[in-house]
Amino acid sequence: MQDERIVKVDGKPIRVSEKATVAEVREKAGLPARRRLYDAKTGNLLDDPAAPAPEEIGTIPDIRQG
Amino acid sequence: MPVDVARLNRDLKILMATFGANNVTWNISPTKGGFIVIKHFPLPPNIRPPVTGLKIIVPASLYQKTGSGFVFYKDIFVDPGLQVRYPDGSWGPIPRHHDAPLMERDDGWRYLCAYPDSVVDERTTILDLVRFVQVWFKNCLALNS
Repeated sequence: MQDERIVKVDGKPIRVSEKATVAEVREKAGLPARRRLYDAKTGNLLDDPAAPAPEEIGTIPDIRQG
Repeated sequence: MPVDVARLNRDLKILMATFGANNVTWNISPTKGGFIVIKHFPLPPNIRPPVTGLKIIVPASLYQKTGSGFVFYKDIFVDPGLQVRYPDGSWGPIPRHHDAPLMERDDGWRYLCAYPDSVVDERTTILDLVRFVQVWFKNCLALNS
């Protein structure tokens, strides 16, 4: 059985595989394709879907023109 | 409809716990709204200077129910003269940071024309807005492209 870990997406825990990528977490969390993600600990954008998912992910809402 | 004072008070307590009680001030009327100021708001290393004042406008109907959620904080203002580091290492203007006074009388605040367009529900707090501002500054060149 594959090892699992918990990734938090906007504070909500999601169980994923040990080597889950950003794309896999996105799919598991049911996030809309347009919603951009960032590493909640560093604030860095997660632009590479194939990269390993960090422990905590935040989603950036669409930006309204002020 | 006036400000939902209970949720506003919760937000003020969250801000004071996060940024320090002496670092947060406000001037708010429950019926007219007002503003909150975080005096020293930390900025990521790609922005200079490393801190800014952050002024958040409180609408008169904050957290009252609307058709799609709740009324949320309105406009965001920061200090003049903020700059972002570009990929070539130079420093320059921050996208959506209007570095000129909005009114004839310069009150020292500059409008940040970036705002999260997300649903505001029962769990939303001012920290959601603050976090958005931090992530925006960290990634403003990419997010504005």
